[in-house]
Amino acid sequence: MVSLGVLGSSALTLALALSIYAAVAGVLGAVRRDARLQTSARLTAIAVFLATTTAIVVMQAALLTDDFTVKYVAEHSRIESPVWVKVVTLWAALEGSVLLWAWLLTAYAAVLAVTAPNTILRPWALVVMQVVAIFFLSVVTFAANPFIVLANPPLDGPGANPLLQNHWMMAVHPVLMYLGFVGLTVPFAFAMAALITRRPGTEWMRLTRRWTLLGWGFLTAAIVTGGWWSYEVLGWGGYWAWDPVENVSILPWFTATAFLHSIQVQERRRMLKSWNLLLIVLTFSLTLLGTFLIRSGVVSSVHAFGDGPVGPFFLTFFVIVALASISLVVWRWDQIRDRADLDSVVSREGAFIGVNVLFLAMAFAVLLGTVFPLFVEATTGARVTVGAPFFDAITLPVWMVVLLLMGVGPLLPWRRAETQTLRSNLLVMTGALVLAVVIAFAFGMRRPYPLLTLGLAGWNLASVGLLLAGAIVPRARITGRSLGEVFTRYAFEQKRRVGSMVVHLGVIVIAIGIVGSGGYRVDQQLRLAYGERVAYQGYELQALRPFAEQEAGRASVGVEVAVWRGDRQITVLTPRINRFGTNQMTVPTPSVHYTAGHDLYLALAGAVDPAQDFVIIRAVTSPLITWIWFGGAIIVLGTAYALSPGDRPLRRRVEAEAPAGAEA
Amino acid sequence: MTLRRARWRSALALLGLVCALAVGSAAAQERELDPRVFEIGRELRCPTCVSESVGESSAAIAREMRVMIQEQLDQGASRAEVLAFFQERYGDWILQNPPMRGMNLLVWLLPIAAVLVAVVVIARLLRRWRVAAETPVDVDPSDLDRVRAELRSGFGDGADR
Repeated sequence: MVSLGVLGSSALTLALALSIYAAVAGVLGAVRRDARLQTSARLTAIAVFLATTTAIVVMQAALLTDDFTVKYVAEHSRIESPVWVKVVTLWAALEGSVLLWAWLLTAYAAVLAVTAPNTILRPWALVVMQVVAIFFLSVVTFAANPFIVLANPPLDGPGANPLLQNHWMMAVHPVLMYLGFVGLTVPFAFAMAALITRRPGTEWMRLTRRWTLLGWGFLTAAIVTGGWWSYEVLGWGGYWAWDPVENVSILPWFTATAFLHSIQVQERRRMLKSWNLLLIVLTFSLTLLGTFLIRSGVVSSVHAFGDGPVGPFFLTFFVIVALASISLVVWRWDQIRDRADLDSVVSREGAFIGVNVLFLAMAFAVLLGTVFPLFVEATTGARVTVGAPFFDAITLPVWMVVLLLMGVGPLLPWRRAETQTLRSNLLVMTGALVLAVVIAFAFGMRRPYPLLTLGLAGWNLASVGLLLAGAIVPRARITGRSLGEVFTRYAFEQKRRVGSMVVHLGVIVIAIGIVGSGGYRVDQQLRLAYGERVAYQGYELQALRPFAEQEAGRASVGVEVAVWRGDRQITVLTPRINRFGTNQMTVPTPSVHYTAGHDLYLALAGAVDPAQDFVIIRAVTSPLITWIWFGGAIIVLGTAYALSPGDRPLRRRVEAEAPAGAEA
Repeated sequence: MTLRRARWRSALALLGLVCALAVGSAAAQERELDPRVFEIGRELRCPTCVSESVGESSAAIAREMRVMIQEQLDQGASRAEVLAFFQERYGDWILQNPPMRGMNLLVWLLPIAAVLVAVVVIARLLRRWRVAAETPVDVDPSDLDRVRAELRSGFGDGADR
């Protein structure tokens, strides 16, 4: 029988060879306009996907059958782990995650090869996808091969990193992240194709609009679920610490969000051609740069699961991609130079340009703050810390302006806003802002950022109301239909527009969650003697008894803590400390009582010693923190709605009964 | 660089040990801590951690530092005094928020400078675009004549239609 390691390595080598062939055939086919070569390249893209799928299946088989002759399994898996842990161990360390990334990339490439419309862009876009695939496949074949066969396999392995085994979210968050990164590779590939074929118009972004939105949606979901994972696992009651890994994951999100908005300016107004090309290049390069920064160990992080030898590869590829795409842009400058005209800054395009500046500013500040300690140490040898307070201080004011623009932008028409309408709209929104601030102030809120954020939430709610009213009321008046009926029809016909409103509402919900939990969080360390009730933030906490549990691959000790409010026992929380297999690392695991108003979060802050008649607990109350996860879900729903099929092209809508001028 | 970093780490660990001795036995850590301790702790870097603050980390030295913060607060120290105490021992490096002086000015000022430059560049671009919107487009007279002729003749005889 052939060993799984050899089988997996062969599948990867085959995938790499096929991928190289697909790229070469694609280039030749595109240059010579040879349809047969182009078809061959497309079919090969499917074959590459089948080969990487084989590698994934082989790795899963090795993990599930505890085949410790395979290096990756020997280093990261353990016989007694539950099945789901073995499955997710595929991406619990470096080699496996690169394999997963390569697999998803070849999957997208294969889907594109089948579904992308037959345009002059397609062959080149597929070539770019394959070139990226060649990079990832080379890394996973040569630098970080998980399939290396061990001559002397161990009897059992150490298991996956305990922090990763500790929560089921680990099955979801990394996959979403890679789906996001890979999704944003598609518009990059088409942008490159547009430059190569001298067609830097709107075609490339029209073809990839859905992919961009899909990638952005996955990236957003990944960041939110990552925050929730931190909250549930790291045990300090927060979800975001501006750690380098978190920073590099949000950098492409900033530029992708800017891109998502600025492509609309080009679609409608034929402006910002070069800017959009640069933005998507930047987004893709930032995913590579980020991977380099955290995988090479040049910046250290709590989440850097598995350093490895791949750093130089990512750096090299980053430099190649950046140089190649920027030279392409320069080379084609004559075609992409904007011959733009702008009627007024107070217009939709003006707002989009503004929001672009803000997101890019945040991306720049966060990147600078992340690499600054490295830069200072390299130049002067001194060590500095750039921590969370810096990033908060520098991004929060920008976010406030983003929220402000988020309310105004969608209400502004293209080209030029009518002063009259604008003024009355702004009056309503300012009224809502002031009202929200006054209410919050009356409830005792005094901190500037929470107050302002709530005000801006009112501002944005008013804006959405005005948008919907402007779209629906005139239609209802003219057609004589009921408002509900017109709304349903509008929501059905304008999926992108309504989806974007939902996403913006989700952003507001998250913003409220962030300032609530950030501004009004209380941490306290308590000493709970067993049986005794200790007051904490309107609750009473009562340690009942210590417990110890043994599960497959996991041992935990913890304390049952009854939570009382007055005479009523609300719940029993079980903060614990977990240990996995033979790993000496202990993972304090918090226990959370979720409510819409605030969370009660308990974590063990001392040992659980049966000989001891008390236990030390860290208690955290975070107001409104669940709003962040809830808002994340709203954003995902809104994105999915905007992506859902059935968005009729403009021509069909004109034929419908909507009269001219009813468009908001 | 790695060697130097390792030496740093061990030096810090030693420092942590000294602090631990100063604090006393582990039992001293098993005490209640006020919310302010964590607020101040979040402004201090945990010296042995990768990138966590004293308010977040569950590392031994972070716990000890939290107790030290509590003791100083109990003695009536202010937030600034507590931060100054640690800054004196560890240097500026211990502060999560880089103080605005020397090299650190760069990290604060560069983003602001970048935004200012961006705003200036964009304002100039916007002005140029507005001018472009107001100036009539130059059209070749022969093209104009052709369009007029085609408009007059109506649809139907154009070769492209």
